[in-house]
Amino acid sequence: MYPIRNKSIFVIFLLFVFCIVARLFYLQIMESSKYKGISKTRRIRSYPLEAVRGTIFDRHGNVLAIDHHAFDISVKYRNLLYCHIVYGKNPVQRITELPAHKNTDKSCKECHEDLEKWLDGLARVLNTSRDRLLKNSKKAVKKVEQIKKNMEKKFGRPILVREENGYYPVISDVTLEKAIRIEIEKDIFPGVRVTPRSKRVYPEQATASHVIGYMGKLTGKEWEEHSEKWDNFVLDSSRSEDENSLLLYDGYAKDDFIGRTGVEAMYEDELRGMRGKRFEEIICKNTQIEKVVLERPPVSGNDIYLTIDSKIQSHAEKALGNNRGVIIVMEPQTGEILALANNPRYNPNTLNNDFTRLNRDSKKPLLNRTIQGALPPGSVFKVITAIAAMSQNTINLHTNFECNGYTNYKNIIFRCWSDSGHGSVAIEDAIPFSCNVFFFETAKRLEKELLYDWAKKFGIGEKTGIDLLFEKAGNLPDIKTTATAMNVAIGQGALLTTPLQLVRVYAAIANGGTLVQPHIMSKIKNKQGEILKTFSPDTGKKIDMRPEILSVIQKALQEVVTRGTAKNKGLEVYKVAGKTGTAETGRRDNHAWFAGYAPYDNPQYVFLILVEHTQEHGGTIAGPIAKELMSFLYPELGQSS
Amino acid sequence: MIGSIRTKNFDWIIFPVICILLTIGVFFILSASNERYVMKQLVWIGIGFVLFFILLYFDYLLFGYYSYIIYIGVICLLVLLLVTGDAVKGSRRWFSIGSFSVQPSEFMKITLILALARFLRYKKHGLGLFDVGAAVLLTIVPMALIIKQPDLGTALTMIPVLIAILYTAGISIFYLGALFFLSLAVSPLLWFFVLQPYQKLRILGFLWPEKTADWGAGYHRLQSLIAIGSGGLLGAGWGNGTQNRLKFLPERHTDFIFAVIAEEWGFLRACFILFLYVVFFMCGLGIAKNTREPFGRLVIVGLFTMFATQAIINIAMNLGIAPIVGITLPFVSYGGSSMLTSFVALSIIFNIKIHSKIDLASE
Ligand SMILES: [Zn+2]
Repeated sequence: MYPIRNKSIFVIFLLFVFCIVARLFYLQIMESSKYKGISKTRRIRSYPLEAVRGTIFDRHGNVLAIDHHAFDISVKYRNLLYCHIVYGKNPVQRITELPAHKNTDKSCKECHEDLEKWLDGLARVLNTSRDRLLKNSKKAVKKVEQIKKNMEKKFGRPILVREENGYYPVISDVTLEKAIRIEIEKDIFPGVRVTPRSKRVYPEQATASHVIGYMGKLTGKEWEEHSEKWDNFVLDSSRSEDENSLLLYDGYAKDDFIGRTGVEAMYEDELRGMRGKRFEEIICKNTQIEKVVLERPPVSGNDIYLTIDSKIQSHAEKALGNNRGVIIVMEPQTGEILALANNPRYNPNTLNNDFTRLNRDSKKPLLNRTIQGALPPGSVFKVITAIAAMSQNTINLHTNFECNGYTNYKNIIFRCWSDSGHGSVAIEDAIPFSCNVFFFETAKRLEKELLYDWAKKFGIGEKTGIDLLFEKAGNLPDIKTTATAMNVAIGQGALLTTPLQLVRVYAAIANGGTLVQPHIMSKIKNKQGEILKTFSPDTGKKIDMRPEILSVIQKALQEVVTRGTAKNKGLEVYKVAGKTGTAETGRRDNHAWFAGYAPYDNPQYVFLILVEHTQEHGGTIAGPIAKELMSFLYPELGQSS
Repeated sequence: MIGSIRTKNFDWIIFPVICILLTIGVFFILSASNERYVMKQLVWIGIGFVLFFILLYFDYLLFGYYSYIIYIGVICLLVLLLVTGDAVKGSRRWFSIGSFSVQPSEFMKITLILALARFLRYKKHGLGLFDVGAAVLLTIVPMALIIKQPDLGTALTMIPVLIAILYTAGISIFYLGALFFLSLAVSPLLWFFVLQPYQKLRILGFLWPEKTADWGAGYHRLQSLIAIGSGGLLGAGWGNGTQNRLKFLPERHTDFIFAVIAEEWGFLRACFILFLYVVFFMCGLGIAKNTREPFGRLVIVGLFTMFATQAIINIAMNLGIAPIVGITLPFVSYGGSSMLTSFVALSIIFNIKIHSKIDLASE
């Protein structure tokens, strides 16, 4: 039998256990106060390193939103307190004796010389007075002293509280040059820290504000949700090499800003980046030395390039003038949105101050009307009625209806907008002159579900899927009665559409029948300039329309401009094809619409103009705005005419 | 071959010690995570106990009889896993059968011990070069496969197990020394050809914490130190640990549960946990001493070394004196596969104690 060697195995085991107990003793008994954060001499402290949020560019690389660095200057509490006691106007009371005495004591002043150097140093570099620096930091000192007082009262002995180890701001929003000077001269006046703080800046002010969106502070509840999510993520994940990336996602901090609307919200995860963190060990014996224990550098957020053309955008906004409404310009083939203009707008730079006022404003300047405003489309909708009826052979090119200014259905009178009537009208005149009676008569003969089906095919009543939050779907009512069908046929009744939905309808007419997906983002790049993502829209649904029907509609839309409801508005030179609309609001005013595309022989732009709550009509108010827009898009054509 | 359980041979010291560890574990999993994990853990413990009692009914010599077949089977599983297994977050450690996932590397530990014990049981006249070489080979093959998965922690526990078994089997000090130097010579190869970059970072990060950029390991280590350090003599009280409650400590219900215990229970009670493991190990070596039958003895030494290594490495990494490799604290940490493996190992230990007394009586 071999020798029994259990004893030595057990001895080795005990040796290891002994090492563990020794280490445990060292950590929990000897170094405990350092880790608890109550030690007078050594402590571990962590603070975050802010990440730069990604920049938002337009399609040509113009900056729409960017993080600007501002610098905060803060001072170590010990130094701060010393100056408050020695130079402050109302000396701070404290129970515990402080290693600072009245400046009358010359020898003592020398030994605390370092503690007060910051005051003169900062005042000199920043060109400000010492009183101002002291005044700025008075609140913080008072607060810390209060905490200390409470703690000392509670325990009945002098206590160094956690807050006494921090840095407190004496001045904020310092320029880069001054921050650098302070950083360089730091050795001369110790105890000063320069903290970069990023501030979101929107250089174009209110331009495209609804597209870019704005940011807001995380609420307490949201923060809890975020941290819970992160925690579950941590708990659920199994051990793996992924730990690193898992820890990089350190959740949100309590007072973080987060994108609330627009691109800022939609692409929050891309823009945000990752905050870094630094752990420091503070050894405060004789000199104030800080040793970095561990540091994770911050990761910058990615840059977003939009399809928006900020020149077209700002001209569209200018064209809107004071009218409450919307202009959308889109590429009909791709669904790339070039301009998404709203009026009224807000300035995201000053939003924090204006928010309450803007939120209460009855004109709703915070609303992105292009995707959130659901309104009756009026006559702009008639093209869908026409396509539905012609596809089903309910009407053809030669179908004529007599317009006497109104028609009857079950003793209800349905009026045309022209009191005198349009006489005998076929489709080629019904669209240019927007004769309601023609469409009433068509609706009477149309199978009821058919109009609903065709509206659905054109994306009415459903979200377009644009990459912006809070899009509305509008309302496509069930068409059960002929009376409903007649109302829907002219874009009234319970039918509600968003401007973007209508742009998509006219894009489909312009591009030969494809329902494109409108979008705002074109590509995402990281800070190194590598393209991470490009927008890949849905290929688009092909609407099964007979080509000859499409060309009838296209021709009729051209004639709206040449001899119809939008004639003599100077739109002919730009080869605009489109349709006006004047929807009744139910009150005494109208919503004026004009939707179309140009040039009609090779459409490059599809556009929509909406003016809400106006006394005017689609042709009279939206027509000139369209002209204004076209003259910017095709300046050379405008001059030649 | 089916024997009956004789309650008088049942180990009435180890069994309550394990029950105390399990109870402490469940309570601190509750403190560190939530009810969902406690329920899951209770289910695993339940299955573990059932397995424990079922396995007691078989004579442990059966395990020895089939040990090579099991060994080859599990090796095949490991190879198959490398070729086809689910890549969970880039690593291949699991087989998914429905919603269950099986981790063959955990079973490999026991299988290896059985195979080594069987191979070395009758080497009464000392181990020759061939014996030592073959035993090393038996260990290296599964180790390499497990490192490749990559699961450094599980692979590392196999080295002390091999040494302890060889040592008990009577290896000469000369061979042991030679083995030590050989492994020193081989470790650079391991470094350059086997270890994944992140594993290297781990080790570098442990050796020079300030100089490497391995934030993950550094963060784990620092948070664990802060948790343990702020525990002090008496601790913050169950459920009151700030590090734990504020969710600063990652993996606090699995690998870092000791840090939670140390923070909330303090130095004295953390030492109590260590004391429980010492009692457990002491009893284990006592059983080994009383087991005349060589296979059983080697198995017991191997299994206890496995438990001891796991406990020591886990606690040492909680205390920041070992690299973070991913090893659970036996019977305390949350986790299904490791819990079941621990129960199977425990059952074999009890089995050997019960049946070895029978052998002794019949001699
Ligand atoms: Zn008419």
